Amino acid sequence: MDLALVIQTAFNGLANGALYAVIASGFVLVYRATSVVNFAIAEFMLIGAYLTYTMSLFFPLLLALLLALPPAFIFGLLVERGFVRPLLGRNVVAVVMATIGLAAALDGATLLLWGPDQKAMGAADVFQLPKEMPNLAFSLGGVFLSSKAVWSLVLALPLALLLVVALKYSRYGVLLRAVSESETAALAMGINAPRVVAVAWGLSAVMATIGGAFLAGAAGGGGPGHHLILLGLIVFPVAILGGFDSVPGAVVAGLFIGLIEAFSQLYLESLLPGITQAIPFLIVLLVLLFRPYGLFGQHRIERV
Amino acid sequence: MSKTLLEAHDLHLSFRGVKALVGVSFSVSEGDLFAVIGPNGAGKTSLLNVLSGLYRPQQGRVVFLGEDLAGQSPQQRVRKGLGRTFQNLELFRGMTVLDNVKLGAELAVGGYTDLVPKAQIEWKIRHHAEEVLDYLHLSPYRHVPAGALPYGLQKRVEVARALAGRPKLLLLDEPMAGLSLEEKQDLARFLLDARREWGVTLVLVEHDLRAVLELSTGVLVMSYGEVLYQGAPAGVRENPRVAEAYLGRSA
Repeated sequence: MDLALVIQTAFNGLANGALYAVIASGFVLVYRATSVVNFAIAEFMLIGAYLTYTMSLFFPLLLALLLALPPAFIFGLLVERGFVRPLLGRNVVAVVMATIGLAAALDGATLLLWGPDQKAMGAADVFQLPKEMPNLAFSLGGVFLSSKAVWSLVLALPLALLLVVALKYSRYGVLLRAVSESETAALAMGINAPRVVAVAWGLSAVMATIGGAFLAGAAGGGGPGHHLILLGLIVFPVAILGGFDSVPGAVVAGLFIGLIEAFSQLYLESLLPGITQAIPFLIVLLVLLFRPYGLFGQHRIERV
Repeated sequence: MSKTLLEAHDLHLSFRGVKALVGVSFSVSEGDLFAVIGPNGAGKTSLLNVLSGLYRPQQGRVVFLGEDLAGQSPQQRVRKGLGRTFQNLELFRGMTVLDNVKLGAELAVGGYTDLVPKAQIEWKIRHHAEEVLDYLHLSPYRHVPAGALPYGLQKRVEVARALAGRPKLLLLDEPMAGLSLEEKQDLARFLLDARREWGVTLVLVEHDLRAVLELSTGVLVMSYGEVLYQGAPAGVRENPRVAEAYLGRSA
């Protein structure tokens, strides 16, 4: 066994996993605050990536990503306001159907706006300025890490951890947990629950944008296109493995699934072609069979 | 006569033909312990939900401190001093008792939404919360997750959380339901103490007729959304309409 290769694979897996962690933690945040499963999370990613791409036509990529965040936040707010809030208190199925419908609508809208072809992040821009992300690729003792992997590890991973810490210790985190435990009681405490919920949706869209932009190759490796929607499905196994209502769980599960994928690619793919794509979902199957509340989820005791 | 704190004028509320409130009017004066009683489905909780802004009545007005509350959200009403507790516990179950009460205390001290906690305000909130915990004999449980406590204590935590906000008027939705006799007596004592100590006016929704008649200064009896009786507790038992609806027609 080649040690350098194993280390390299591990880092690459963690790097990808960090992106999953960012997206999934935003997804879980929304679930916690509103108990809504956002089936349009992959489209959130896609739109975030396209926004970054569009901004990158005018600005250097890193700046473009930053500039894509406020519109993404507003997009999250609009979805909450337009699709989720009107259905509050209705049947859960109604909200689920709404987000599935939203996903389909957004698929179409992105096709109309950005076209069906895969874009290239970092292609020629309007002003012919250098605009790729600084190349952070490096090689040490036979371990090669791509620029994308390094960026993911230094940007996405701390961001996901920051969300975990903020949720635990910041004032807004306390309010959000209060709303997620009982919205009625939060209202009775004078907490502006509708605003807290809206912010959760906005943050979720921001997280999806950051994850989506890197998955779509903001730091090298492909570009935004509709294939991202398939990539985005990984959010569900990650969230389920993490326990579905636990943000720290989502982060750990994201990293874990990233690692599994990387090693499966290295060792199993040659034996069983296509196994890598299936593995996260196989894990989910096992989790649901043996530990339905995931790694960190609440053990819910339901009275029947 | 003391000052009128809360007035309801001719409240009507219906859910697709089911009439929950039919022309309910009453007023609560400062310092009252006002009881709303009635059999199941009488519209007691609906009434509280209208008062606290969770339901919007089709007709009628709610006036609190001389101000019409129409169009004000639940959280705005709470900030004006109209607190409430819930029939089915609505605690933040995953948080500790202290954190629950601290969220309540923010109402009194002044909540804030800064990103980072501010030591000075946090200190005040904590101080305030501890005072209420002490008062309701909850201090030993302050670091226990609220959801892990026995039912009777959870009920008490909910009252503590509401009292920590120093409401001018507290709406209590069946605080005694499901409690043992001893727990009921404790809670009644706490509520009376709080009324004396902090000048909280109490509006108590209750199922248990006896507990209420001993405590209250004014009573509203409801049945099928209508007011059957309003006045002094002493008159309840003599009222023929109440006797018929609540106690059953005597054979």
